Amino acid sequence: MQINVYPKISNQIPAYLLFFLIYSNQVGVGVLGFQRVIAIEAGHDAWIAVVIAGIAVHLVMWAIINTLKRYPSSDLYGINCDVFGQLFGSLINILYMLYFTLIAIVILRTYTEVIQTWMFPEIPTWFVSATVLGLALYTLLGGIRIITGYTFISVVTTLWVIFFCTFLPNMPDGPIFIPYWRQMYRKFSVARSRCLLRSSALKFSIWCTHL
Amino acid sequence: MRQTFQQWVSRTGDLKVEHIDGEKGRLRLYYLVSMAEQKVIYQHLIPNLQQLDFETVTMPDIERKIGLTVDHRLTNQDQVIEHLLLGNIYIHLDGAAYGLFFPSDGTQNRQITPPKNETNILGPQNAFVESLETNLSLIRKYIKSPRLSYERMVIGETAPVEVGLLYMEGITNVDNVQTLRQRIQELKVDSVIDVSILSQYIKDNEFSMFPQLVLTERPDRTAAGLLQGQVAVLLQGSPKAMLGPVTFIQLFQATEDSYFRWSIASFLRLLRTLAIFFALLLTPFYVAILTFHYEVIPADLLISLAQSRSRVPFPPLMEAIIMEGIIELLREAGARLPTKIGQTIGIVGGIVIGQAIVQAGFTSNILIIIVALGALSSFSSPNYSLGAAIRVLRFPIILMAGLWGGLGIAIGVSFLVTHLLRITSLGRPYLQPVYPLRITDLKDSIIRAPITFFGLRPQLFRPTDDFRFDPAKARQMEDIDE
Repeated sequence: MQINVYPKISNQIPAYLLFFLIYSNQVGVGVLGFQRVIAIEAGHDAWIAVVIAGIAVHLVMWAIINTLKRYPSSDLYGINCDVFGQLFGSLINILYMLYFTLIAIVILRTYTEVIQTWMFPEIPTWFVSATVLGLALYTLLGGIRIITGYTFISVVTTLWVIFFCTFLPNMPDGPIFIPYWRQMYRKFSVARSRCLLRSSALKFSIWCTHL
Repeated sequence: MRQTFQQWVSRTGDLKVEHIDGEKGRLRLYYLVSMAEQKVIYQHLIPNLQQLDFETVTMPDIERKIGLTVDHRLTNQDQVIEHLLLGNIYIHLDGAAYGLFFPSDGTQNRQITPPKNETNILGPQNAFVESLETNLSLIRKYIKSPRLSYERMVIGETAPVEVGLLYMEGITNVDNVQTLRQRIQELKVDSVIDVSILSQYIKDNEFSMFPQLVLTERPDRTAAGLLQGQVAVLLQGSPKAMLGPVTFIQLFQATEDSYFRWSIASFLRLLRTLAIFFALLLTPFYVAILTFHYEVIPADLLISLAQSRSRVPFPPLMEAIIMEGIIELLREAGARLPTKIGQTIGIVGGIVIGQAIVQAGFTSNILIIIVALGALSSFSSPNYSLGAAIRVLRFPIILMAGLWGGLGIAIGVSFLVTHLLRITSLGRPYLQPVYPLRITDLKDSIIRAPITFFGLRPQLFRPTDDFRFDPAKARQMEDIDE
């Protein structure tokens, strides 16, 4: 198996756009439903979880970057085959592919659920899934630049949602800072403790750092 | 070969022969009455040629007498036909090894008039005409520089027509020139009547509605584009220039924006951007909200809306499609009718239909306002092709809004965004400078920064030389009195 991959210039993106790829992997449909999960699990000690999660993420990133430094231009699949051998490497790669497929299905299903809960209770699941998958296919066929462009535009055009989420609910009560900060920590902890979305984004970053 | 020439002569009714030295003489003039300039024949050629001694005359004598050089010699019949079709006069002498052509052009050209479609209040008031040479001279008037390059090409197998490729040597990126040159050279079609047809042949994405090469009738806009690093194409017989590469945001920019002060220009550009969203999304939002999302309407408005809609028997989707259809019908009728009758269309459409359709209970008042606003917005686009694309795109989005409400609009807009991301213009991304992000070029996008900020050429077209002027030295205030 080819361990080092050298993509064409027309399939490369500037480094700063990786931020948008990871951001749109982390902040996706999960932000719409995580509050419920957090309220059940985290309680008042959420900030400790945030600190631990933050340190853990940095350790993982350190490992990722150091692994990638050992290769001139390789990706997760190539490194797996190099480290674990052809057979086991490929096996792990297949597991990763299944894992990503699973994540895609979970995200798609959550999105459908949001639409079914808040907009159209009777809309069939297959219809929403099919349209979203159709859109995704159209974007994917354009190549990595189009995918990145879509994430870039979606991030830039939805940034204002942050203001809605944090400032507007607090406005009637006036600026009461201390509970406000506690809220923020709790939200962060939830976002961080969503194992699923976080880890997917990290692995994605390995997968596409060489781009 | 001789046969084909004879056949051509017999099929060409407007070919005229002037026998200089009598019926059986050796010296004759051939020309097309429709193409050649007859004044020069009767005032210059015939009087001069008749002074010659017909017995001993040779071709060099004729050349000297009427002032032609060796460059005017024609040796075969194909050349003769070609020059006759260009409007030149062919001078034939029996027994000579070659013939001569005398350059002339008697074709009629329209006067240079103010632009009709891209009207401006400020700025130059001339527009291209149907002659390539005149159009080229109009551009050269703005750019008197040896760096302005003009490449002449011929396309069309059945009806060859002259194409001119214009660019600034040392400023325009050679990739842009090479892409366009190659696409034109490799085009094997029988004829190209207008430059808009050429633009359809060579555009990047054939199935896209959006214009990927901009057509303009303004020489000043063409000159400004050339100086920015764009490539221009002129076609013989077409009153438009084609500019490329182009970005989506540039289609919202009118030439006049450069002539206004920056604050006014920015305001107008923001207004136009808003108008595009209005044109595309206002009616779909009406349909989606009235069909599925009543809860977003404020209670006070809901009452008047319900009253207005109480007499309408159709669902909002059908109501909206009927109204949009009527507006499109009025626009099309107004565009096809002669100007004098066209004004009555406004009265018929605006007053009679608008008033009567509400009273008849076909649509609500609010929809009339929304549809009129959408139509108005779509006409505010400076680029006619873009406005047309937006008007057509509105219909599928209305349909999706009627079927699936806000979700339908979201799907439609997402699809549109992806589509715009995928389009390229001469291989350059269409959504520049938003994506790929070119921060320095955002100053000339939906806003326009003060003119001293434009010391460097925009990076959109990757100019070879991006230095325009030094803003620090551009205007040094010196008091003349001191």
